[in-house]
Formats: sequence, C-alpha cells, structure tokens
Amino acid sequence: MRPEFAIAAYGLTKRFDNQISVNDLDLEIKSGEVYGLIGANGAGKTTLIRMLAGVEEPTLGEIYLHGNLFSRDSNNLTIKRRIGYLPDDYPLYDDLTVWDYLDYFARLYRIPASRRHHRIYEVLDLIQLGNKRKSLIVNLSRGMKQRLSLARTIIHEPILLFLDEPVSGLDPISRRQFRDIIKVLQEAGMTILISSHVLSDLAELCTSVGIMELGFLVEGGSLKDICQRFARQQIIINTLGDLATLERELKKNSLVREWEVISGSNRLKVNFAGDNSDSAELLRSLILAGVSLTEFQYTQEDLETIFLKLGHQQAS
Amino acid sequence: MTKQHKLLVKATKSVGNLSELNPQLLREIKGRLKGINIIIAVCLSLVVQLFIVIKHLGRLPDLNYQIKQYSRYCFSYTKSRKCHTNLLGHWDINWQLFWLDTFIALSIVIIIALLVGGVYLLISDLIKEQQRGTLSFIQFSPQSARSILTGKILGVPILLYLAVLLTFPLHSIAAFQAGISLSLIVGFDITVIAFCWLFYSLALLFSLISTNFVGFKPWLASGLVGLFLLLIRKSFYYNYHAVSNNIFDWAFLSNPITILPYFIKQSNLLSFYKYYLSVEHLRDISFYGQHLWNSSSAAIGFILINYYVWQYWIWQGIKRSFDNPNNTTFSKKQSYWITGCFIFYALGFTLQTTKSGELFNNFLWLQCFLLCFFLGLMALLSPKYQTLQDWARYRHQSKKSQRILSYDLLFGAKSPGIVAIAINLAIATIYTIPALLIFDFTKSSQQVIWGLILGVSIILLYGLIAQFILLTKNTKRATWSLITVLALVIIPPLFLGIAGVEDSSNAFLITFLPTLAIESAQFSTIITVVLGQWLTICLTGFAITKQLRQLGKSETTLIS
Repeated sequence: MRPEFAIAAYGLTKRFDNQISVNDLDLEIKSGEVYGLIGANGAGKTTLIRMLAGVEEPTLGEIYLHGNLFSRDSNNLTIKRRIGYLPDDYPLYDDLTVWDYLDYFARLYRIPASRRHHRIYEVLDLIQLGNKRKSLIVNLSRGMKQRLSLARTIIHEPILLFLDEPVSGLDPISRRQFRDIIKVLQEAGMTILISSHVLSDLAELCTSVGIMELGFLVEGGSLKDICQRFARQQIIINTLGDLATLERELKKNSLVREWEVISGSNRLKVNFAGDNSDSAELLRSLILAGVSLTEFQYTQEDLETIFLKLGHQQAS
Repeated sequence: MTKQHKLLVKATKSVGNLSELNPQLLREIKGRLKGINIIIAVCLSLVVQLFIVIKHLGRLPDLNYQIKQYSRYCFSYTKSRKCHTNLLGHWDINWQLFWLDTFIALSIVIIIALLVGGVYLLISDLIKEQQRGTLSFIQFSPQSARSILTGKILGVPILLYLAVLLTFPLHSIAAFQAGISLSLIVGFDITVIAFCWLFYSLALLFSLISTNFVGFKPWLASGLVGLFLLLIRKSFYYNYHAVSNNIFDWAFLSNPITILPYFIKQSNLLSFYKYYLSVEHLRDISFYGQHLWNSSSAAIGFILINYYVWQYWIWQGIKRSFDNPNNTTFSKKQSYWITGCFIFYALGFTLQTTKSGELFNNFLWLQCFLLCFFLGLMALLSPKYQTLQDWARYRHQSKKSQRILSYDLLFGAKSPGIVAIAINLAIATIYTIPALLIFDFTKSSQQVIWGLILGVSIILLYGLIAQFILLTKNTKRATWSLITVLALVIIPPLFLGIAGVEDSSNAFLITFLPTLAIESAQFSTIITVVLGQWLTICLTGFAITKQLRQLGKSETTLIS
C-alpha cells in the first residue's frame, strides 16, 4: 500500500441485515488533507467514519492507515495512538471536572507525566476552556462540551482525526470557534476527515471532498477540481454601449460557452468555463476592446448546489 | 521533614505511581471518593458492625437474672438451666465463643456485602458506560482490557472496600480473641479476595456479552449471587444438605464460607459449635479420590486453583468481548479447553463414591450439569445473526477463502458454532467413558455409556434447533431460540411426570435424562432411539446448511 495516503480504503462495504450502508467504496486521502464528507442523512457517512476509526467492523474491504492494514481486532497500539475520533454525539463524564477529564484521557493514552500538564494546558488554550478547567462538565454549555470533546480527541496528538458532524446543533459563534480550532489542527499537519451538513463550513475548511449517496462515494477529489468540474461559473455583464460589440468580443474567448440577454436591459448572463483568474483575463480583454462596462460580476455555484446536483443524480 | 510528612509524601507518590499504571482506577476514585459518599460509607460500616456486636451482646445472660437465664455463651449451667456464676458472682462467660460467633457473623456479612454490592455496582457502572457511549472511547485507547477492567474492579466498589476496610479492627480483634491463627486469617482473606475477583470478573463478562434487558441485569446478577450465598450460609449454619458427595460439592466448596469450619476447629470449642458445619463433613468430600479437605491449606489451595482456572477463562471472554463486541464470547479453540476444564472438575466431584447406586445418581447429576454447561456454551459460541449472514455471503470472497470449510467450522471466528459444540460434546464424552468403564455401576457400564451417548445427542439436537431459529428472519430470534430450547428441556419430562409415567419408562429416552430409562429399555429400543436422534440431527443439520446457502446465494446476487 502506498504510504503517502494517510487513509486508504478499498472495497469497503458494510451491511446491516439486508441494507447496504457503505457499498464497495474506495477512498484515498493524502497526509495533511482536510477531507470533507458530504451526504444526506443515511448516505453512509457515519458508518464510513466509524469503520475508518475502527469502531465498526467492515463486512468486506480493507483499511490502511499510513500504509498499515487496520482493523478493529488488530492490536496495533501504534495505530490506535494515531487516531482521534469524535462521534456525532459527544458523551462525557458529568461527574468529572474539565481538567480531570482531560487528565484521565491523557493517562489512558500514556502521555508521560512530565509532558501531561503542559499538554492539557496547551489543549485547554486551543479550545479556549482554560478558565473552565475546574468546572464540572455537567455545568458546561453545549458548545463548550463539544469543544471539550474535541480536546479529548486530540489530547494524545493524533495524526488522523475523524470528526463526525462536529458542528451539528451549535450556534454560529460556537461553529466559528470550532472551525478556527480545526484550522489550527490542519496547520499542525493533522489529516482530518470531517462530515458535516453545514457545507459552507466544509467549503471553507476542506482541501478535498467526497460526496456520498446511498452508500456510494459518488464523487471525490480536491475541492478545486470538484468545483471546476461540476460548478457552473456565470458572469453577469452590463454594458452602456452596443450589445453587438460586447457579443463579438465574447465570441473571441474560448472559455465563454453561451450567453443570454436579460430582457429589457443591456445585461448578459454568460456561462463561463474558466475560473476566477480566467474571468479577470476576460475582463481585461473587454476593457482593452473598448467595451464600456458598468457591471462585471463573477459567480460560482457553491458546494451545496453541487451536492444537490450530483448526489441524487449519480446515485440513481 | 518530619516522619509523618515523609510518610505522607511516600503515600502520595505510591498513589501517583498506581494511577500511572492504571488511569481507570484514578478516574473511578476521583469520581467516587467524595466527602458525602465517604461519610455515608463510614457510617454504614459502623452501624452494621455495631448491630452485629449488639446482636451478640444480646445473647449474653441478662443483667436481670430473673428475665434471662440461658445463654449460648455460658460455660456451664445449673440443673435448672441457669448460667453458672463465678466466686465473685459474675456470669461465667465463654468469651472465646462470643468472639468466634462475632467473627463468623462479620465474615459472612462482609462476603455477602462485597459480592452482592460489588456485582451490582460493577454491572450497573459498565452498563451506564455502554449506554452513555463513553465505553467506546476507553476501548479505543491503547490501554488493554485487563488494565481498564481491573481499574473498574478496584475502583467502582471503592466505597464498599472502604466500608469493609473499616471492619478490619473488629474483625481482627474478634479473630484473635477467638484463638484463630494469623495464617488462617490471611488464608481466608486471600480466598475472599480471590472469590470477589472471580465474581467481579464474571459480572463484567455478563455486562459485556449481551445488550438485552440492561436495566434488569444488575438486579438479576446481584440477586442470584445473593441467593447463592444465602443458601451457602444456610448450609453452613445449619449443616443442611451441606455436603452431598456429588457435583454439587463443587459449587458448595467454591466459596470462602467453606474455610470457616477450619476456624471453628482451630478455636477448640468442640462442644459449642454444634450448629455450625464441621470440618468432619468436609473431610468426606473427595476430588478424584483425594480428600483435600483434610487440611485447611490443601482446601484453600484447591479453591484458589479452581478460582484461577475459571477467572483465566472468564478474562479470555472479557478480552474478546471488550475488544470487539461482535466477537463470540469465546473462540472455538478456547471452548475446547473450557470443556476440558469443566469435565475434569465435574467428573472429579462425580466420582466421590464407590457405591454403585450413589454413583449412578451422581452420574445423573453430572448429565444435568452437562446440559446446563452446554446450553451456556451454545449461547457463548453463537455468532450474531449479522456475522453469520456475512459469513454465508462473503466466505468465498474473503482472502481466507482458500481455507477449507471444515477448518472454518472448527476454528473460524465467524462460522456457526454448532460443529464446535459437537466437538465439545465429544470431548466431554470421551473423557467420561473410561470412568464409566472403570467404576462399578448397578446397571452395566455399557448401558450407562448408551445413556451418556443419548444424553449428548439430545444436547446436540437442542443446539441445532437453537441454531436453526437463530438463522431465521425473526427479530426476536434469540428469545425464541431460548424459549424453544428451554421448552424442549422442561416440557417432555414435566409432561411425563404429570401423566404419571414412571421414570424407568422408555418415554424418558427422549428427554435430556435418558439414563433414567436405560436399565429397563431393550437394546433394540435404545438403538432405535439413537438412530432416530441422529436422523433428526442430520435433517436439522441439512436444514441449517440449506438456510445458510440460501442466505449467502440470494445476497450475493443482490450485490452484483
């Protein structure tokens, strides 16, 4: 197995009775990537994450973590130490304080006593719960509990992080805080697999995405590539001058697919195959051609639209 | 630095080292050792101790001579059953007996409290962890099952341990005043600790193996343990069916209360302990002809070895269930060894007599125990429905498909357990047959061997029927399987009993105790029943194979 893939799964299948939750799925995620898993409820995201984290046993298929074959039964402590898993519900011990909770998991993961204190403070700082370290968990807010769960997941400095719907049910401020923490973890070099319904968050965080539907990974790749392949780019152009001149200039650009005139105006809606820099090039050429513009607006379909478009189509 | 300060630092360091070794223990201690809990535990312990002492003080002759004259603790009595007084006019009290009674009562209370309370606390704690979802985090840490669950055993009942620890002064004073040697007390304490370890391990296994009736589990387990101990206590106090010289002695001897008669003997209060179980009774018990209970050290040694063997297997099951809840509790290979251990102990206690009639009865009890053992083993060796379904579907696709089917059925982790059950039955039969040939039965040995063969065949049939039901689509298949097998075990003999059919009738050949009817049965009848049983076994086996094939075939088509 190629070790450059932090996570690799081949032919991964999970059946529950007669239902296929994950179907013959292949997945390769490079080291340091933040991979977003998108899919409707029941698409198989949670099952996939649970299998990759070793919580669930696959019916068929193989999982490699940094080139090592991984299974729930394997007693590979080195691999276990590398994984951090945060489920969508985040069970905690209400009878412990924040500090004791993290201390407990730090000990479970055999962090040496000399480093433990420092590491707990470091993680508390990251999740911004330093001032709550003596509070009982039962007294924390939902967002704090969620962050504490993440702290538990990273206390042992894993290099692979599996986050299942980590921001579900959080308010926008908590979501922002959570996103910032994940960015820090990404910068620290962790490979992160994250599933979420909040696609705008994923678009901001992820380097790659995979779209799941009915147990299949219908599309996967780098975010840029997915957008280029599936997101429609449009440019709205408004001119003060002659429409025919504008149309003549547009025809010269190979990336311009088609356009339509918005009725009753000098505005055109242009379907464009290029990216942001190509649109800048088009703008420059129009100005050089002397087209007088009052509006030039580049828009791209977002991840949510791509997901809605692709998910159901591909699966069916 | 003062001496006390140094000691404190040393103690803190020791606790620190211990928590480094076992973080789970530290977590349990932190969660439980809180002010109010400690106060409750201390108060409860003191109240119970006070109650025991007051209860025994109440048995002393009353200050008011007229009201109460007889006392168990009087050395001697007048003709009118009045307690003698000494020259100073004080009661002549046998304080040694008083302390012996106090010691024994306290010991029994400690054992019951530790067992019933500990089992309840451990099961409810583990179930809470499972329900809350926190157990999976612990399971995925690099800590071993043994480390985590040892932490649980040491930490969850910590308040109970504290309460018991507080009885140490009274327990020790009572023991020394009763004239019991320190070595015997240490032996007893070790046995109690080992006994608790065994039952706590069993409690953990019980909570890990099934997710059904979770709220009921702690009550069920602690209730059963309490009932068992109360029966033992009754046997001990009233010498009631204490020693039966058959396989029941195994259960009776497997507890620390058995050590108590040695205390009584050591105190040399021969004329006063009449209502306690005596060492003389224990001396009647033998294991493969060896009267190990002649000496306390041999008895303690035997009990500890017995505990060690079973805790070893229990921990194998715990490890498998903890590491992966989809695993069967034991692997097939482990089951062969477990059956070997079981039949070794069971036969050792069965062959306690050379009297043919008693031996025959002992053999019947052995068959009952074998039935219970195998019903349990079937449950522990049956993979989950999903696992069986996957095995049937994908066996040919897996990398291990080169492995031949027979190997998979004998040793595979996901294959049906029925072939392994058959092998286990064969192990038990093969080990038992030489004993049947050597020992003198009233009935001819050949007949008893036929009884054994019929018995194991019917157990195998129960297993096949259970497996067949477990492969059906019914959502309550496990419950139905249990109900069906229990009905097959209980209803035929019950029906025959109600109908007034004598137990020597041929009809008993089709029950789980065919040996009852062996003597009067014709050889041709026995052969017919054996053939009938095996025909049914083959047909059920064929039906199961067909069921599995269908399951695998249809699903593979669905996938492609």
